[in-house]
Amino acid sequence: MSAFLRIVLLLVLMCPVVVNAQDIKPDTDVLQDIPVLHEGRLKPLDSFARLSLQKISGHTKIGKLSALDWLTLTMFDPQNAALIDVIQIENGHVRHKMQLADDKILFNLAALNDGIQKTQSDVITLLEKPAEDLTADEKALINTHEKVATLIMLMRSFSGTLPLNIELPEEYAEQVPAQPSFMDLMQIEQELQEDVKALVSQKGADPQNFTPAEDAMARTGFNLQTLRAGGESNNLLRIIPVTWEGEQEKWASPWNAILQEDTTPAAEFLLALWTDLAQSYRNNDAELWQQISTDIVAETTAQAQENVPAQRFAVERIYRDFQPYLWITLLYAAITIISALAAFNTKFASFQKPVIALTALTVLVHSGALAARILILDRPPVGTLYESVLYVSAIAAIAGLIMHFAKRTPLALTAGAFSALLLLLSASMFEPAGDNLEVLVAVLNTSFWLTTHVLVITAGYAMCIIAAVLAHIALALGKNHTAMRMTLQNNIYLISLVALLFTAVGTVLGGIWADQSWGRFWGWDPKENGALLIVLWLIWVQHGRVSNRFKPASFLGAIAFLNVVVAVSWFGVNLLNVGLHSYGFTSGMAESLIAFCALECLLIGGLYWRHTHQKGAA
Amino acid sequence: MEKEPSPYKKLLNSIVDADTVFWIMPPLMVLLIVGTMAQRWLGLWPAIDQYFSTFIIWAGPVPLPGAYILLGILSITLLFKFLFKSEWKWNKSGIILSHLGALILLFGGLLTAMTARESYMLIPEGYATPYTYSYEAREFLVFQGDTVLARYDFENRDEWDFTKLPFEIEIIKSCANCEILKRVETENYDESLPYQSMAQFMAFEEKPLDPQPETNLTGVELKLSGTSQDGLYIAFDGMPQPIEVTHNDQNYRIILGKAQHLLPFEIQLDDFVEERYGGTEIAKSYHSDVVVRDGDIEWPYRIEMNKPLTYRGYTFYQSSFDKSERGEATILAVVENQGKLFPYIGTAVMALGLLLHCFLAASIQRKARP
Repeated sequence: MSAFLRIVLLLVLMCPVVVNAQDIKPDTDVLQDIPVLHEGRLKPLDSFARLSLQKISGHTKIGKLSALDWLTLTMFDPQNAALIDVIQIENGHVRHKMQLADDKILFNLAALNDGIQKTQSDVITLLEKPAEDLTADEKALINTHEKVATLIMLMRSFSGTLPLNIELPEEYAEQVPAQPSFMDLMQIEQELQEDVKALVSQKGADPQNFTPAEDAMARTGFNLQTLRAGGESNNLLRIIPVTWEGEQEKWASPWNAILQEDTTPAAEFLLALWTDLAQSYRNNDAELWQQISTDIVAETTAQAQENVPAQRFAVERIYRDFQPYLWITLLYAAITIISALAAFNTKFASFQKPVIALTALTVLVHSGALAARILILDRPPVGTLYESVLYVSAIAAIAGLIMHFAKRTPLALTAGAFSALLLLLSASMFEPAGDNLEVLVAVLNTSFWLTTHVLVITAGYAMCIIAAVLAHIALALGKNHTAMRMTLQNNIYLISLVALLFTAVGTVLGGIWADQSWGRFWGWDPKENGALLIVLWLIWVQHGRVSNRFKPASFLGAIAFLNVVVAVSWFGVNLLNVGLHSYGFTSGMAESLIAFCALECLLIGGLYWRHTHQKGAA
Repeated sequence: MEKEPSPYKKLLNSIVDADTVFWIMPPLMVLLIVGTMAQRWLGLWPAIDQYFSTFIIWAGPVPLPGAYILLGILSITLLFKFLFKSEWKWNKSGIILSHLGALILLFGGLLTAMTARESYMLIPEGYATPYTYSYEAREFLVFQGDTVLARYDFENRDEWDFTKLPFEIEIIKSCANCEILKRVETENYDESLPYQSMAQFMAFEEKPLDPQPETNLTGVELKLSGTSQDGLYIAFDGMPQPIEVTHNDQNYRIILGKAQHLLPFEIQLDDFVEERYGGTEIAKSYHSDVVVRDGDIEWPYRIEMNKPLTYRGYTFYQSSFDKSERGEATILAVVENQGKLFPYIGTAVMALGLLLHCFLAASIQRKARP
């Protein structure tokens, strides 16, 4: 950490001030489709910029600067970027510890300098502790240091190609251009370091014994050494296709390419283009900027060992621009309210047809959003807990629409939209901290089993949830709506059968996947047991109905309770952090789950009591 | 007057009644929840042993039914229902098929529990082996030259009989999972005793079993008499050097290790590849390029995640790997399972049954609609 900070401060001192952030108005959009390898996936630079800015600031824009504007400024003008309030510190304890103002949460790197230095040793100690033993304040402190490290790494992305504001001893200055970059200085680096070594062995390490020329030489040697050390670990911005031998990675950062001994003319050419781009940025030369940007996109695509999917990049940009899940959530909220009003209040009966159209449109957009994720990730959209929530919410809404048309189920649209709304609101709890368009670990990286087992079982969860919501509604209906309740009861029975079909088949398909993966069909693992619990509950309810142990009200109560069973089985088992299936573990949501289950128990209990104490209740 | 059903029929009716399933489900669900929660604190395998792979669970002094009993009752109910009380009508075909599917799954589970044998192979790149190793079982072996003279299961160590050996062995101490200590730091260290080989420096102390059986360090402390190097020895799982003694000019080796199983063929690892997502430590895929060699026949095969190799009743899965200075090695899980096909058949039958039942139920409702 301190090494990074020292390096960036060194850069700040060494780089000449050229422009102010406010004066810069280059068209950064031309950079948006430059491919960058980030978190295991090739994505457009626009996505990388948004994700980096979000990680550091919690936002996807800073003032008038778009994420790409900010990233460009950070890469090409680190001195000014260090003065932008971009590092988010929400934790008051951390702000206090770093002696920062308490009336704001965004800070610039320069303002954090002292605080980072002061807390550096604390963070080193904290990193030794097991993650589960860390307090919220301690996690926030570590997180702040991580944000700073990320920002510094980005600021240093091109520090190897940017001109350095250093004074070289005369004998070296003659060998390199005026205002040389680290790349230029690499040709004299070995000679200079050997001279410094000889000087130290002759006069010792105390600079007081050096002449001014020797002192300048020793300082340059130290600066180059520091820059090299920082560059060696700077591999965040992987934008250079690897064209040299012996490297397993297909993409490298500018620093990786600069320090590569067997670099190729192709990589050098691309680096030169980036250097020219930085120059055009600092000179505010829009024409040159535009031209070089286009050249970089074309050259990078040509040099890449793998196909750079332009269409996928376009879909990803649209997906991130549009933020579909925000709109879909709002639409489901509107559908829930309007459809319920249309069902119960004759004044709003005319809303029935428009709300059907609105539901169809929302489901279409929702399906489109899922299709976009499939296209971007090139796999089924159910690889993580977060993704499964998005998928289940879509299935619930679609099921509501189908039930409305096929079975004339009263309030099916309301139940479908409300189920989808609840799920989408809870999705944020499962959203990963960085990119929610994630790559999958090896055992999950199979489209066949994701398509068969996961799609089937999660569709079963959706059917359970919609059945449970309808059961809540049926229990809540007063004696004036007896006919509606009877129809609902019959339809809930059918939906519960469909839920049993999907969950039972999905569960055994999971067993077959496990058998294919590691030879064990059933291992009593928490994830397997969770899925089985839903199946057993549904079997119990069906047999209770057949054997007349469950009267209609009890049947509805048991179906309503499916919400709790599904929540425990789907999310609860991941809290145990144990099992053969070592993926998908979550933490920090036990309280929410317990609160949900307790509220549901109270609600179902209350509705059941009210229902059975109505006059003439079944 | 209606004839009173016989006691046999009464019993049969009560066994196949939906009521039986209704009453068996709550304890099964409670067992599932408790057994799952217990994994958090007991670890996966001990919790499975205590709650699922058992007939009885002891809640203090109170015996409660374990998964075997509950699933046994469920299986009997389904079997009797299917054989004697199925209503062979079209509108019941979904239910009949669903029950049959569940029955096949349960029968497959029983067969697997009775016959499946799990072990693993560790093969370094460029090497071939016909041996698999048990995760749990350990054995104590005495070799004369390269021939196994005697083989003892560690689990039955109280019954070991060394009388047929040409020299005497006395087991002084043993532990299923040992903590290694420095000999000189042990409480009853006596420097006058004739400690030999590694026993001069090392001693054992019993510690609780590890939830992962393969990681338990099994060990014994023994006394040898009648050999040319009598004294006190230790042997433990994975000890780099076996105990080596001579008797009547014959060389003997004593080894304690994971129980081995000899396959009727051998597998050679040509290459193990671990692929990661670029710029991350996240594994994208693993695979082992192997050659299966059975007598004069040999052929190459790539074992991948989700793509095992099955041959002569054995299935080999990409389970793990080992990387050290000596090179890369693959770890393959090896399973022999006679009930392997049943889940596939059971799933198909059950899925068809439930699908049919859904359609039939919807159709009945549609007809009943006024």
